[in-house]
Amino acid sequence: MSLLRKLSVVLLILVAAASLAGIWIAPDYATQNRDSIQQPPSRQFLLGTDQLGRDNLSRLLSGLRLSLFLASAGAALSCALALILGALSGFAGGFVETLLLSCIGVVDSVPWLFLFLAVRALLPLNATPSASIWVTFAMLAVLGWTHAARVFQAAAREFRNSDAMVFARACGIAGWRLWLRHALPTLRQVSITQFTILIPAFILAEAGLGLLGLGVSEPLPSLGNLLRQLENRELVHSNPEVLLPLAVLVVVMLCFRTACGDLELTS
Amino acid sequence: MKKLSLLFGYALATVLLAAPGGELRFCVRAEPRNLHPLVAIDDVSDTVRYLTAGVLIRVNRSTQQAEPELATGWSVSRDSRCITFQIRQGVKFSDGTPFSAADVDYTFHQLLDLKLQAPLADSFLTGSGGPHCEIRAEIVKVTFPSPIADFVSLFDQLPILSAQSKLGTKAVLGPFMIKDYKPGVELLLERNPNYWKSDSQGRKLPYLDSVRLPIQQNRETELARFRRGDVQLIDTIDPAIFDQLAKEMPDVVRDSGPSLDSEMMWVNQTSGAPLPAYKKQWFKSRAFRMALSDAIRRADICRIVYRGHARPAYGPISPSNSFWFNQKLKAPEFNLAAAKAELNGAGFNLRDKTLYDAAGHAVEFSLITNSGNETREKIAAMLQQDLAAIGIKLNIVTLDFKSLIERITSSFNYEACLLGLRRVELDPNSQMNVWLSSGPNHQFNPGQKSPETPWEAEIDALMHKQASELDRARRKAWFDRVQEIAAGQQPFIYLVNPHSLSAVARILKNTAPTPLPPQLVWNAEYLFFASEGAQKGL
Repeated sequence: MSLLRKLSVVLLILVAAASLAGIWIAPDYATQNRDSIQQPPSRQFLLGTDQLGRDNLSRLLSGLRLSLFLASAGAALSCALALILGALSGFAGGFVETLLLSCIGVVDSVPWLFLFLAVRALLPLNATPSASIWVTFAMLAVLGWTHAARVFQAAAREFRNSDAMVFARACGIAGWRLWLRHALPTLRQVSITQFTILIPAFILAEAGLGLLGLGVSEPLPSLGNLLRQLENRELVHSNPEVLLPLAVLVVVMLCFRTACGDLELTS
Repeated sequence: MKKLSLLFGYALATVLLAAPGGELRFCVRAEPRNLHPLVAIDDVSDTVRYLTAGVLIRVNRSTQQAEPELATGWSVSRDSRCITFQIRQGVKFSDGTPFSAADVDYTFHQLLDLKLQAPLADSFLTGSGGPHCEIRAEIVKVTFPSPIADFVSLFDQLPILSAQSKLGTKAVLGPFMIKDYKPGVELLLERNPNYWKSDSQGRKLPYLDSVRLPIQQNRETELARFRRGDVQLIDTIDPAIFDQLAKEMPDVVRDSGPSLDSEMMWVNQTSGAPLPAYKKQWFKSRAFRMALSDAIRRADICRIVYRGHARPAYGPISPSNSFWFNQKLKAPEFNLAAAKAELNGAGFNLRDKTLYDAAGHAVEFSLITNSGNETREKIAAMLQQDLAAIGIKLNIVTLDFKSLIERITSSFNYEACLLGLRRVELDPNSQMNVWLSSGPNHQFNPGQKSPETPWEAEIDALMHKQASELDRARRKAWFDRVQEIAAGQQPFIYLVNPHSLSAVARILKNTAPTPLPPQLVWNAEYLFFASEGAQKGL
């Protein structure tokens, strides 16, 4: 295991542990300390306070916990869908490939913004913030797999036409064994890449959906609504600690990529 | 006396310093929808109309008093149905066509022409129809089918068109005229050479040669242009940006005090709303609404969300509306004890930080507001914490604007709503559709066939009475009573009146920002640059 990978794994464990520890060490993400708005880091508020006087540390840890878990779950679901349909299409070829590509095209053409608005309109108004965010990430997972599926399809088709495939067939390997033991593993690297791409994409999509009313509702924090603070340039100048959620997101993604990528190279 | 001489000195200095010429530039945030002066409906078209059109009477945006413009005087009949105007003589349209009483008559014909579908025409239709004009030399007598109370604000908006000019609506009587319009880029207005007004030194107004209105939606870009000196005015500035500008250039920012606008919330009292019966019972309870109002820390909203550039709202009339505001209203104050007492008296009880009604239902409801509005999202979050202090769980739901409007006007499938109200008129007649129980904008319970509560019946009667009375003192007394009822019933829980914030370049003189639109250019004919050709820079 390389030093970089070790470092990445340690950092990921630290972030996960800190976000979980937030449940006990900084659980109060909602209380507005109205006499202490936009405070710089202090002993009372280690990362300062936001525009409503809420503890930035509590909100960051809670947001991390929520967003990373749900975005990862959403990305895993999306990746699984993409892998099944993309790989099937690429390996099968012919009519199946045409049919599945058409299906991907149909899903791609769904006006997802309107779909989200319709879902928001159908949700009960007294749905809890947690229910709302579950629905958001579930929909992102169901709608966000098409690009990844095209990548899987291309990779699978490449393998289908490769010398390795011809060689495997020449060796008498056929049927499910050929696909499961020889073809599918070639998509592992693509899967890891797509999975790591989808996590930040889903987190940012959730931030964008906040503008449509489908993001995380108050007072629940998420990385998405913490990142929305960066739209306020004056706030970034006066309270640079608001950049921390972005920095954490970038670090987590890099660590994730490094750890998984290294795992692939060494396996 | 000393004050008067100071004012005179200021006016004289202003006139002596005036350097005619130059181009004033300020951004508008959208495309004008229609440049026909009678069809102007949006803010940009309204601003253009204000700068280009001549009117019979003008409401001075600073003093809020009616002043003669193209009419040198007017009188109103005893039955409040006829208004007789004396028309100003020697006035010409921008193309040189003489202005006469016939033009007023022509304007009314155009206004009431069904083909034009002028939105302003609805305001002139009273009782069984529109007004009728009679012309006698320089006298115009306008007769309405029914008494009309708020004629001043009506005539303040009525642009006089030329009956004879070949240029049609392009011939104007205002200080400027439209020279060029490049869709998506800008509007250019140039000085009307035939404008009738002169300053006290006899110099022809306006001082400025032209007004350029770049179309710019992006507020950041607008601010950057202001900092560079490309534009000289910005209105309705966000409080955070205002404070930033105040740090950089304290002498360019202007806080003109409370605007006419307000932010408010209300609970859904619509009888046919698809809500559980027990929730309807809460919302119809006066004590419940009063408790909500008492539990809200409006001062915190002003301080935190608006950075001090707002004040707690008293009711439907902003304190900046000096005549119609009821000075006797008690300032809204946070009072947790009163809120709890009101709830106890109405059978609610607080156990383990949760409020329960008499039937044992935990009090929880949702508050809808439009998504993407950071200010309202912050206010909603603050309301959530304030109401938690009396045991109420408030769920915030942000919806796209269309969905929100559908819920509050059509399906009534909502529990409470947080929205803002933008007011451009001073007279309470403009609030008829809000306060009449049958009105479509009586949002908390719209379109009632007959008033469902005695206090709504009283408001209906008062609003009808004031609408057909010309005596302003009596009208004020009746509308004061409407404000008292609103404060005592809290059908709308008014939260804050945001301040009118603007920025004016140092080189531009004679500006007097007001909360009334068009806030910064209402006296455009008197604006001038400190020195000729110095428009570039701040």
